Amino acid sequence: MDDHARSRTRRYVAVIILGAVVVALLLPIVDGLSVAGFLGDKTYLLILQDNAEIRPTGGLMDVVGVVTVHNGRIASLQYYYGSSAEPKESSPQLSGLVHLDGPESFTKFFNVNQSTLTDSNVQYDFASFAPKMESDFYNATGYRVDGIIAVDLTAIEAVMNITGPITISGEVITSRNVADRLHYDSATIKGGKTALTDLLRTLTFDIARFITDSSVPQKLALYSTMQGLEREKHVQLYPNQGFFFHTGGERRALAADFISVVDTTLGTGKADPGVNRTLDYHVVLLPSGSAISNLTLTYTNNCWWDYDVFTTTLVPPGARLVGGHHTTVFFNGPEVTRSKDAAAFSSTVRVPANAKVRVTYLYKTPHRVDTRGIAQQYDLYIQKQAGINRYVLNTSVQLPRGARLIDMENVGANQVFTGDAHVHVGYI
Amino acid sequence: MNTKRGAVIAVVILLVVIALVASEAVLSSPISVNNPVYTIPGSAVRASLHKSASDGTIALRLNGVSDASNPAIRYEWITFSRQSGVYNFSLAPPPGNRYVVANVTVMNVHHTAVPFTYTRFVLISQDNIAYYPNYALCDHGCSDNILENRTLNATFTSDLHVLFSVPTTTRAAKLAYTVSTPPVVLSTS
Repeated sequence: MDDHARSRTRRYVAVIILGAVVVALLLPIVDGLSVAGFLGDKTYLLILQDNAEIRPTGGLMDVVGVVTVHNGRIASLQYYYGSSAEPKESSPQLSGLVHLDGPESFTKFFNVNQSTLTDSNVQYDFASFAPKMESDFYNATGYRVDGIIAVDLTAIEAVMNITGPITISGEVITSRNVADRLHYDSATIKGGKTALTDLLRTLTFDIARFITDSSVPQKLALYSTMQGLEREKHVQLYPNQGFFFHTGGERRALAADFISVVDTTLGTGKADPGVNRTLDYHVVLLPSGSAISNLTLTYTNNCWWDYDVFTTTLVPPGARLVGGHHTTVFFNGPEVTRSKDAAAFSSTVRVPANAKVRVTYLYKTPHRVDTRGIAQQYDLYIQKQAGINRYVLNTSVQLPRGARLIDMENVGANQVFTGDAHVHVGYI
Repeated sequence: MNTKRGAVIAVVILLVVIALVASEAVLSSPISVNNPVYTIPGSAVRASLHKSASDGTIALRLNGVSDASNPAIRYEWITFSRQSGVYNFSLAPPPGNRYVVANVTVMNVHHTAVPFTYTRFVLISQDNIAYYPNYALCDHGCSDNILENRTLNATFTSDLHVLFSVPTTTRAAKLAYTVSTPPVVLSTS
């Protein structure tokens, strides 16, 4: 090949690479424009998850809405409320029953196979629940949506910290009181009062207006906040199309050790802001690579009324429960169920007012240690439940006899996390 | 020629670095909490602690603003909550915050039913930051319907317990009832 031909080939390669880079840069923009309704209207299902009443996917589904976006602006918005103090006041679309297709830990424990649409978020994570919700919502209302956006009250408070207060009929709603205003309006819905949906409509339009009209630093602050909220599972997205948006809140199947506590409050009101959670995990690593795990869940109830919770702890598949104890007289369980990616220990627990309750599971975990050359590596992933604001983690790892520690991360006491946590220990 | 090209590349790299540092600084900067300020109108009627002030339809008297962690206040709150039955409000504030409860005597002096809503109270800190109510409860002998229906009957007189969420270090200076004409401003001292 002569110099001229080589030079031409190099030019072609450069043009192809440049073209690929441009396409890679433009695709997310095209995707973003599509999501925002610039390439045709998009309709989304909005779910307000009240994380003051924790549910597996984040919180009680107080209100759901349908929003249509056209050219980046809200073209239409309709809210339905589902958890009125008086069931007859709930929107009829949401009070119908839907079939529950699992998880077995829930359906078997309570011997149920159906619930109202607003109580149907019993799957272990939002990613598993969203496709079913999309389908059930279509069957209940006839609305087809292009995706689902779930937000909890923590997310609304964080966003209002940026967007500022809103005023409805002279009443000022701030990030400090928005959750309580929603709770009050939800609890007092009677005779078709629209205070709750008015508040949510105003809030939604204000936030949408802020997104389009705010300054660049404000937009960046909001973007940064949304990223944090998405990471901590207070905002979860389910796009049923598009290339660059992944489904939020997905519980990963892991080859390493993991713990995922999934709680459901059992009719004890807006208690979760007053309940603190602590995980104490002590693991003894055996020379074979398997482990003996001692996990204690501590619930500290700072509310002045009792807190009832159905708690499911997901651990690696193949884990075998060998013992357990608890410090409350109102306890039912544990029941063990298994799926291909986890073993589940489920119990119902009552935590009396202003009291602390511990639930301990002792179990054997199959091989969870990774070998890297001459070194061994133990990793533990704590997958935080959506809607939970923070938890305390105490961990200790006992190495096999004769092993020497190389490095460790997040091993110790009183570590506070607001998202997932990763514990690592390397040894030889 | 090479020197010129080198200088251009250096400037471009410098600009990119500056842009990256600036965007990182903006993205990682603490998020500002939007604190509304309440400016008391000159026409407001005022009263000090334990004294009444009225706009001609209702008279208000501030009996105190207390921390909700105070055992006596907590006991009262729980008692009235159990009577109310609207929903249980936990007295566990978010980290970095505390709950304070303003005890206000509300009296209808108009002798006919008058509109009233606890949501139009404002707790004003010493630096004029306004805090808006989270929740309220009625005292003995007062139906929660007045909170829900937003109307005081002709003979209404009762204490109201209005709860606010404030930063831990915030001290309340005044309580204003803003919907009356003129507004009523009650001092905490």
